[in-house]
Amino acid sequence: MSVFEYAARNAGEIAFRTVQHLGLVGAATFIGVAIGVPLGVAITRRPRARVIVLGVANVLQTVPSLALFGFLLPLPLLGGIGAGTAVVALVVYALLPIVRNTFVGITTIDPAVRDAAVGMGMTDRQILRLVELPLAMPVILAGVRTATVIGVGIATIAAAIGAGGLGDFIFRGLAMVDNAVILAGAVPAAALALVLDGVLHLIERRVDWRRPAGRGDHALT
Amino acid sequence: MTASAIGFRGVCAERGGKRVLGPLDLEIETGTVVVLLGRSGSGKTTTLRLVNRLLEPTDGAVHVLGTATTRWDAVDLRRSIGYVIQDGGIFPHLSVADNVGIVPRLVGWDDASIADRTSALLELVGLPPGQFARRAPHELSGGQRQRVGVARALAADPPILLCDEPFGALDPITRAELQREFRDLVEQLEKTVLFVTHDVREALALADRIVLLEGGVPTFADSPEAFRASDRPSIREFRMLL
Repeated sequence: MSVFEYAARNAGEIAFRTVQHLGLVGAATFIGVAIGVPLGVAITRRPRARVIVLGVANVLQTVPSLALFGFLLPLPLLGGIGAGTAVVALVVYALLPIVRNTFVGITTIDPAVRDAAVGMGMTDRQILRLVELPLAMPVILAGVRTATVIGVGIATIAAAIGAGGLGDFIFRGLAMVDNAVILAGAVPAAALALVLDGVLHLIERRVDWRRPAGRGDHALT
Repeated sequence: MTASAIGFRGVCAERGGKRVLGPLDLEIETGTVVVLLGRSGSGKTTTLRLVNRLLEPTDGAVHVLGTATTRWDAVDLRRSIGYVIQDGGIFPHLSVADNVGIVPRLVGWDDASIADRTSALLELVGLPPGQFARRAPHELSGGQRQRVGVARALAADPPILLCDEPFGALDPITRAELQREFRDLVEQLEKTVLFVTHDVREALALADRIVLLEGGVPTFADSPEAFRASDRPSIREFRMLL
């Protein structure tokens, strides 16, 4: 059976698995941002924590994903069979690019701008909200984009622990030694990565204060 | 009103355990323009940053409007002082109007007052608001950005202005033009100004009083006329640049 025949007969399941896949990656990216951005901000304030946080995130990034899923399985709360465990693992991989880009985005701001902000009497919180985060936003979003694209790839392996997603076809195809089935999972996964990459790239350009046109909507309010 | 807007009383400052300034005794009268002149590393910027408490003295005290900076709330202190730095430190993600209106916004003015104030200030610094208010900083020339920096520093009507080589990066003609306008502006608004420069022409053009810093110690503090007449070798060296 050709991949097209297989895909046509299983269009419904492919659609369902794609949505499931998107759900895993979306949840992981969302949690990754919720943890990673504050963490990235925190280490711009505490140089000593920086080494530890970036070090740990770096090491976690190097753990092979299949092994990480395996390690998580026996853990209470974080582990077990299913989507929850998969999201935990995906968050682990999302953290490094998000934390690192938040940190880099803030620390590479022109020191004169920071100096002016402090000198005019902004509190630390105001500097963060009005100056640092808006200026770092394109870099932070680039990190989110990296995390998302990596997540789409890694999420295919989550099928191994019963989390579903497009990886289901891939593992099924491997077991059946049937390339058509593998491709029914792999091609939509690749397409999903490309689409998400493109969408996030557009958002990134919208928040880029360096872009020349359409700056009228940058009012502080 | 106290006669002295800023007072340095036996002030010393260290950086990395090394003394970079002091002892400095200097009273800056309300409504005067004092220029700190000196070479790189002479302690000019350090002196300036002691006033808005970006640095604290290791010895002595800096008094602003009659109160030692260490007794001020740092944020309140900074909001009563306008601060202009080289290239303005303009926020690149905000429009010209939002840059100028930011301190009034921080202290809680309403939108209408901020808009009025912003327009008036842009007019004052020679940037017609109709043409410039919505522009982004990167669309401005260096001179125009510096005007925005001055307008922003004046926004909440602080009694004191600190200027750290604000015109240092400009071409000579634009610089002279801005110096002239700046001088007129602070005279008209009766601001107390502490101005840092290594440019002797700038010092002579702006100052009511010139303070020469050498190796962190003031070696001359008098009028521009006295500066022109002085026989000090280091001052003669500066005068040779004229």
